Amino acid sequence: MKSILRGGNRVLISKSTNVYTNLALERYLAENIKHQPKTRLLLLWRNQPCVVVGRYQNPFAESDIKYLSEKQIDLARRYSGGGTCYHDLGNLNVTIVTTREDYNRKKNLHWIVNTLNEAFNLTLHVTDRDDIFLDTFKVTGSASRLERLYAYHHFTLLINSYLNDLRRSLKSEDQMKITSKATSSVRSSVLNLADRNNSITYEKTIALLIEKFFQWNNEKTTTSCDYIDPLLYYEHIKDFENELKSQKFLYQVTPPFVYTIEHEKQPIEISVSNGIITDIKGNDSIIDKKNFLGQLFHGVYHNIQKLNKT
Amino acid sequence: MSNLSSFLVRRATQYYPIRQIHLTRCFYNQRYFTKKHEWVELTDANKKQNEVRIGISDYAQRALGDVVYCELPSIGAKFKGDDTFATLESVKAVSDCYMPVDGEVSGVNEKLKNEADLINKSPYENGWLIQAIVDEKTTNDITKNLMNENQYSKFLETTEEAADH
Repeated sequence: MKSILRGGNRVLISKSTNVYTNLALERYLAENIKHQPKTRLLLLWRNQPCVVVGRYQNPFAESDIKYLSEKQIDLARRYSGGGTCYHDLGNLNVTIVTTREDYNRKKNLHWIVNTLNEAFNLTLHVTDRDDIFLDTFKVTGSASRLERLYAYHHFTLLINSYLNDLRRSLKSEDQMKITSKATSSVRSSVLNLADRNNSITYEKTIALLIEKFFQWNNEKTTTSCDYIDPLLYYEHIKDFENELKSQKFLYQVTPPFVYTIEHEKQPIEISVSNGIITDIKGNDSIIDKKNFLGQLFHGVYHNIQKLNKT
Repeated sequence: MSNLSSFLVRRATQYYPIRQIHLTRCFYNQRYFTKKHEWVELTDANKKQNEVRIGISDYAQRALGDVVYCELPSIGAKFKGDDTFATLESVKAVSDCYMPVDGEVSGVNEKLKNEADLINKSPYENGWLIQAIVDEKTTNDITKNLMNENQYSKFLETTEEAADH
């Protein structure tokens, strides 16, 4: 049981494909591993279809909430910054955990880019915003969380995702209705690595990353590599997992925003703070304010949509 | 009154009382720093309660890059020294700010809600984060336990050297 938390250069591959479990596992490991200077933990994971928003984003502005629930695509908020991404089994998640002093996103990204370029004959490059592009197409972004003693940097690699589902899930009709200071995503054209070189698979990529990770960190053996089943650590990760799944963390921690709709050509402005409707500007004849004021926005979202349509 | 003379009068009344208070003179307007790059300074030497203003250093804002979002605590929240009191997002990275001392939040910089980048533009003035009430003992501890500007710039030189190796 203890060995999962030992420090040093290590690779862990999660056997779970549940986004909440994996985000909880990532946070648990980052917080509890005995971090040693000049070493890295590489955590590899992937999820069933889901949309993951950044810590200070508005899920209504970033994704089509209604479509997600119809298609049973999970919605999650992560602890790190950055923009929204779509995950499925063709999108590999890479997390690199270090001490706070050793945190260096550029180093991590250049390692990945050089490794993939060499192995698969690609021309990936790292941008100023710490994204990875292939020509003009994005294959990943970056996000990170810095804590007192440790930091983690994570990103995905689009290997063979359903890009139509990605585009559809991230198409928000609410985007234009929302005014907010929340972090907004920079939308980019995306590309699967496998579409450029069809020999690239999920399995090949993780085998490559494991091998090259130990070389990068000057380790002679590749023995510190383990597949882990997060279920075995449920007692340790359940608090994070419950928080990640909670309506509170999904919706209520969204930065304050104003949601503007039109009803019979008259505007209605709904102010939301901590997920709760705090103010409504609009004609009383078109909106019964007392039914909405003080309510959770995500709880009455459906009713608000009805107002918008009639 | 012309703009200039009214400005000068305001400046004079702003600073005049300070000269009267000998005990806190050294402390007032002097910024103290933590190793985590937060700063703290006494806001008003005249108040009975000791109120401090807290922010992050110029070095910290440069290391973070452009701050795009700033989550601040609510007024009345109590923190122990080293607790997380604010969280910033900059260039896709989320990082916490730690209380330099024990204190109770008495004010937050409302401007940051719409202009988080004030932290970058003016880390010591317009980009302050919170104000907090601290007790007398804590006020004394600030001068004892934290670094003054000279000590902090020396500290930065040694950390930067360490990072180069």
